[in-house]
Amino acid sequence: MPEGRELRGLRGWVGPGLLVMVVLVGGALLDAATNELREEWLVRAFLVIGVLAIVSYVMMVYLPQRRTAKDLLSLQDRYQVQCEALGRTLDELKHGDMVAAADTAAPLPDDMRGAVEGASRALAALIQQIQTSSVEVATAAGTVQRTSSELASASSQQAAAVVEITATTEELARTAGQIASNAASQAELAAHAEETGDAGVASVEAAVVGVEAVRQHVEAIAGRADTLGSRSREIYRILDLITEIAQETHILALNAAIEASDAGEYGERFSVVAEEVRRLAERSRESVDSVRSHLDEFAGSIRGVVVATEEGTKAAQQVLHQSRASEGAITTLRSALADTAQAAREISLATEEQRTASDQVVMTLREVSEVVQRIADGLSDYTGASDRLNQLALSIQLLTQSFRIESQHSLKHQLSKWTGRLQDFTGNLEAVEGLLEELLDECPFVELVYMVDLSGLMISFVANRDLVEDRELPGSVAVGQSYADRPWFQAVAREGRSAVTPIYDSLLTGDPCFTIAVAVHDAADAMVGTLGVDINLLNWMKI
Amino acid sequence: MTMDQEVARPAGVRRYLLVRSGGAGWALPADQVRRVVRGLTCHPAPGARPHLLGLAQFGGEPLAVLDLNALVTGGTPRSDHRATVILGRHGAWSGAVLGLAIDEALRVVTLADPPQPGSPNPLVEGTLNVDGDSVKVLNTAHLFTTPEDADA
Repeated sequence: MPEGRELRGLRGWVGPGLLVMVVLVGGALLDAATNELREEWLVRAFLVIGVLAIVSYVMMVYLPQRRTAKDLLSLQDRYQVQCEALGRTLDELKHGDMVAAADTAAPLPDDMRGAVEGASRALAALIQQIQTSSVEVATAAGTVQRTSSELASASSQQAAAVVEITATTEELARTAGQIASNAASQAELAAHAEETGDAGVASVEAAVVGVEAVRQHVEAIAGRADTLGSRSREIYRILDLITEIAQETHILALNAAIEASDAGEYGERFSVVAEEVRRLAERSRESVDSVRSHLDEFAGSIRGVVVATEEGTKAAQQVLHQSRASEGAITTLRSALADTAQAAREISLATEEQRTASDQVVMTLREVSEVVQRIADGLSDYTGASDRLNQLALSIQLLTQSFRIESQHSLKHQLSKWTGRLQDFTGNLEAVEGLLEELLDECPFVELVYMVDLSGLMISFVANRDLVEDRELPGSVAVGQSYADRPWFQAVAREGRSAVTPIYDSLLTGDPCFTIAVAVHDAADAMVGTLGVDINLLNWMKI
Repeated sequence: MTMDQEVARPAGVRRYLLVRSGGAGWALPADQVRRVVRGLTCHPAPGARPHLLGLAQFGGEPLAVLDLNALVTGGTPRSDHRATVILGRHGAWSGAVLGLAIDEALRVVTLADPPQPGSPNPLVEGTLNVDGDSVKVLNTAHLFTTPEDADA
């Protein structure tokens, strides 16, 4: 660098020297040219002007140029410092460490420092906003996932219910068809019964006519019986007359016998005749009695016939009345059967319409089932989308965690604080373990925190029992185990910066997790180890 | 009955008119019977004895009609008799007639056996057995006995 400055000083004398040489050469040439003119004042003036020019040059060019050169050197030094600060700042920004970038930007000019700090603040605010948004997105995605899962479950139940309703409605349609068929059969039966009722009415009408004829015949028989009664009474009178004659004859025969007794032996024959006459009269009377007895029986029979015909007439009238009542009943029944047939036809039509409507309902239910199934599928897509959204939010969260900003949600920043506390206890393992336990208490989303030395050997660790629970720790998690082959250790050891790993499955819990590792320095700012934390992603929203 | 008739017939043989009155059978000597009539109109006689049914007209002459059953048994007389036997007296009071109201005149029989006496009633001459039935024989002579006959 001094050689450069000397060269830059020599270059500052080149210009004036050349100007003097030009003026002197020019004056000499002009003097030689003007010797023939012999104009001395002109030479002097030329010399004066040359001297004035030299003085003017020194005053107006050389001295300011020297001051400018000094200022330029100072400016170059400041520029160098600021360039170095700007380089460090940009390097911190490149690694996402906004806090360190703000620190390294201190040597920069106010405007530039303000711009860097403003950009860092804006970027930090943006990162913080992105962090918050990722959590909100994850929360919303979780809500959407739960809701879509519940809706999918409900849709499945609804689909099952729709299938059941469809089956029931199909059964209803089949039943309606059977009812329609039965109603049609009933209508046919009712129509047949109506026809039978018509025949029955005709039969009853014929029966009424027949009964009326029977009644007339019975009345005719009653008339004949009455006539027979009259005739029998006449016979009685005749029998009375015959009886009277027989009795008279009997008396006459007795008187003849008495007269014959008075006639002595001459009247014996007459007495015999009188006795024969008396016997004839006696036989006549006995015959009359016999005829009367028969006539009594005949008259009794006639009276029985009269009574029977009267009863027959009454019975015929009753039958006639009942037949007419039956005719009315059959007519009413026929009307009822007609109404029944009409009702059955209406029932058949109604049930047929019901069956058609049920078929339409079944079709609609099938469409509803398909829609519900599509909804369930869509909800499954929703579930997948929300899951992907959750993963995306987690990726964003991991992306934001690659930055270090002044925020309690910036893991790097928080761990830097803890490394600041650890630098005072690097030789005290108990104190280190106590600090690690404090770290777990403040960060419930951390399932394992540990510290390894510069060679990568585990010197202390604490597991979060709330997350690990009673699981047995794997053999790799033990003091003395080497973590030198782990990428996060190598990254920290290589660059001295914090490192964030991709997501992997935890050996402790089996849950997805990632690791953040930061370098631990001692009071002399010498790196003494690496602090690592395993973040359980099921609880990452608590960050 | 006249003596000529009794002589003309074999001894002991008599003819009787069998009648029924009050449920009992009677045998009236046929030779004392003038006529058997039906439907004889009888006019009650005021103040007469109970067995005297009344007076009737027979052959243009007045005729006293007696209820045979009431006469013999002293029972209550009836008015529904169906026949009347006209008795005629022989002897001093020949021509006198008397009517006996009966229920029925049966027939005329000729019997050889005489009536079996034994009845305390003077109107009953005795009893006869006709075809197994016991009938009483009316003492017609006692009916026509006058106080003068009794005194004689």
